[in-house]
Amino acid sequence: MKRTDILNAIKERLKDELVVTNLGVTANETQHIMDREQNLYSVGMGLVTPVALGLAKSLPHRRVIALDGDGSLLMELSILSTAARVGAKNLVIVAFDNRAYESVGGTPSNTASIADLVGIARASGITNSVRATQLHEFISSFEEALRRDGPHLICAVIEPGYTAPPVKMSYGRFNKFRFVRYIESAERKEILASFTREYYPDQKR
Amino acid sequence: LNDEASRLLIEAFKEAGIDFISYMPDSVFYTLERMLDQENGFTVVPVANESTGVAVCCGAWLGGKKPVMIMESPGLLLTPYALARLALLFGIPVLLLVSHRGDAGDGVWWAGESYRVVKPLLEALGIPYDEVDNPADLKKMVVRATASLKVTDHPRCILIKGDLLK
Repeated sequence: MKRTDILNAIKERLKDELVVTNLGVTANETQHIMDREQNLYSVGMGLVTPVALGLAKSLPHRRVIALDGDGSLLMELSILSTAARVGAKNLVIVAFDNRAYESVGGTPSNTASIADLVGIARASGITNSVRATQLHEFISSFEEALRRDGPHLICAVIEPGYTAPPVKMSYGRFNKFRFVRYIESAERKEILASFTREYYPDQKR
Repeated sequence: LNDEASRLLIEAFKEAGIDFISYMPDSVFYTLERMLDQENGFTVVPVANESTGVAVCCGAWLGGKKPVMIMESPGLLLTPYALARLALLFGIPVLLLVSHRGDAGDGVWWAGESYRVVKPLLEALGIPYDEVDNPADLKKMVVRATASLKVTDHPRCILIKGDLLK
């Protein structure tokens, strides 16, 4: 199973869910396959699921999907018990487990030998934690995660390597503005500063 | 932070429109944290690592909340990664509320070195900070800092000092 197989399956099932991605190949392949204004790309290692949790708690009526990785999750495991503790019902963590730090050359991660992300997640209180080694297993688990309260963790065991061609990656701040403008529009919120009020204080935005 | 100062801080959060709080447990903010457990109107996410808390707050801001990350100063030393790689890189205004342990009269040996490092660290990151040691100024500083955050894409920090550490 390749990462692109998973991303194509996710793409077919997304509606208005928010997506936060890991850096490197995950960001590249996600942008290549399913670029959309609800995506925030290239969040740093160890920060992907925390950002997704902040979003999930802020917008509890929306599903938030973290496209995380084994190396990134291993960097900040406490987020799993935090997500479970605060009852992030709308959080879905997809952990691409290629057992390597692929974007920096392929050095094996701890999941290549000893660490079990599903076991860690379950022991951290995320009871809805499953491993998917086949595409049909992933699809079944993902559809359930979109349907039922979480938090969920799906460990997608994928082959190392990448298949999508490199894309011109979205610059972080541009990506943020597009993402936030979407949230402002969809949720009818003002997030970015409105300077209009300085000049027209009587007018609402 | 005593009961009165903790109550002032909650009032300040409300007045400033802060509606999302993440914290790493800290003895200075213990009373405040217990009060927050009882408060409605805030989304509260206690974390197990300060850097994680900064990232959670960044996600909250992207989702339309006005977040604050509460921590003690030695814990601030864990946050430069999340601040530089996320908040500063993407331009996300998060308020950091930090007890500046080791300040004159604090009397804790373990904060000595981190005390010395905190301000240079914030300056190196280019994060503006305000210092508060008088309970009467607490509310004003939180409201002012939050007002500044509304018109920038930069984190900002308030250092709690002096008698407020008691």
